[in-house]
Amino acid sequence: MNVRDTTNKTNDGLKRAQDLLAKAKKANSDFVQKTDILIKNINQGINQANQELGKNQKEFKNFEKDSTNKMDKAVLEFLSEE
Amino acid sequence: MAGTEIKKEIGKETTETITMKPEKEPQVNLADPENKGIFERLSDKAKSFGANLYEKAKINIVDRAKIMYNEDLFSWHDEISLGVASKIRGHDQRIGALEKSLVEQDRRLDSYKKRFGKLPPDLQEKAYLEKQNLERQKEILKNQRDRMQTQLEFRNNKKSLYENRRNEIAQEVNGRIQERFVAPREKRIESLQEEKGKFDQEIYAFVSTKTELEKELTELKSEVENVESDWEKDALGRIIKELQGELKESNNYIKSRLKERAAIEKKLVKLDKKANNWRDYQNEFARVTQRTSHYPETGEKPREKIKTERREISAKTSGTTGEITETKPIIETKEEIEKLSASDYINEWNRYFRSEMEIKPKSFVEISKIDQKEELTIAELENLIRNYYMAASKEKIRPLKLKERELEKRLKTLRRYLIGF
Repeated sequence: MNVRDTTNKTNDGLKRAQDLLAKAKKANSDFVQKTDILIKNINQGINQANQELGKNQKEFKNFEKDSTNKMDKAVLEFLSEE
Repeated sequence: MAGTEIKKEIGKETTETITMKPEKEPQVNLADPENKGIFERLSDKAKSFGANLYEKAKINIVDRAKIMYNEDLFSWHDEISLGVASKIRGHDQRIGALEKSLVEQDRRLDSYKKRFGKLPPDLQEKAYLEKQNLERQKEILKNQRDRMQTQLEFRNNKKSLYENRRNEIAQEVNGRIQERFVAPREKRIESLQEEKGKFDQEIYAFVSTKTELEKELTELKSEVENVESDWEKDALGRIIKELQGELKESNNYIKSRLKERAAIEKKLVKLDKKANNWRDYQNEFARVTQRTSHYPETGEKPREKIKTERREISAKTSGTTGEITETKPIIETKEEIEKLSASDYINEWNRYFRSEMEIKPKSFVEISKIDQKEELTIAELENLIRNYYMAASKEKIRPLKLKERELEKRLKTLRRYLIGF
């Protein structure tokens, strides 16, 4: 192996190391960025869903009241002789 | 509540006064003023009955559905219908007896005329008045019978209307729970699960990238050993150190994201549980409305049809001309005495309990090993039905889950319907 070959090999090694480092940095940064967005979206979705559930509870109470009234009316009309 | 005085008119002849005190003070939790109004207008007996139904019910859809689908509601009308039907039968017998008397009177008059010639005018007048009196009595009874028949039909129509209304409400409520509460929650959770799936994928992909990088780092480290120049060794060494730092950072990111993932999962489970409450509620409601939708029409209207059908059957089997002079139904009393062909019984069963509990005559005959035209007592037929259900469920002929108690209930209902016992 001559001097030129050895130098090339070392340079290749350095190049590979730098590429690897760049790759690792990019992978870290991409991962953080992407997962930050996903976590944010999921948490927002969960919060919204919880808020909706709260609203639904109120809506359900009204719905339940209306429905039970309808059911009661049907039963009472059935019992009546009118 | 004070006792209420009710004047009850029976036919046009008698009038009696009944003092009725409700069995208990009605305590019904009715939120709607209109419904309260309807309740107030109910008879005292109906109020007591209603109060019993509503005794432990909450303002809760499932509890109310249980009331709406309570079998006793039909029994309430059935009891009254049975009374009216029995009166109709009594009237039919009296009308029949009067018709017989009229025929008999005509026959005797004819016989007299043939033997002794014309009746003296005063006796003619007497016979005419007698006949007129019988005709008038018959007319009164027929009018009363028509009124009772109307009452009976009113009650049966009421039951049909109620059943339709009940099913409409059940469908509407179920649909609304699904549309407004269950489906949006499920859609939301599904979309969150999808997002979480993407998050998982990102973590897995990153773990795999990190493993690759670690592998390459190991290779790089081994290559450093072969580098001759010190400065180049140093340069590579620095990069490797930085790379090790990045990979350490990668590990920290993974750890922190896994923690986030666990927290998200916990939140999703909690959310899912809340959303499942709607689903459970919907299922509970659906179970009440489905379970009791098997209840048959227990009206007395078919009883009238039955009487005709029985007469027809009897005319065929006895070989007469089919003329029916008596209004007395052929099937009168106890299940040990009354006979019916297996096919007629199965037809009645299917007509009464509809398709949901339909018995296929062919499989019934095969399992019971009988001739379907063979006349058996109601008690024997009931035993065959018991055996049929037992065999059918063992052999999985039909996926009918009918508990013994429920089967007995239905047998009793049909027995009451057929023979009033």
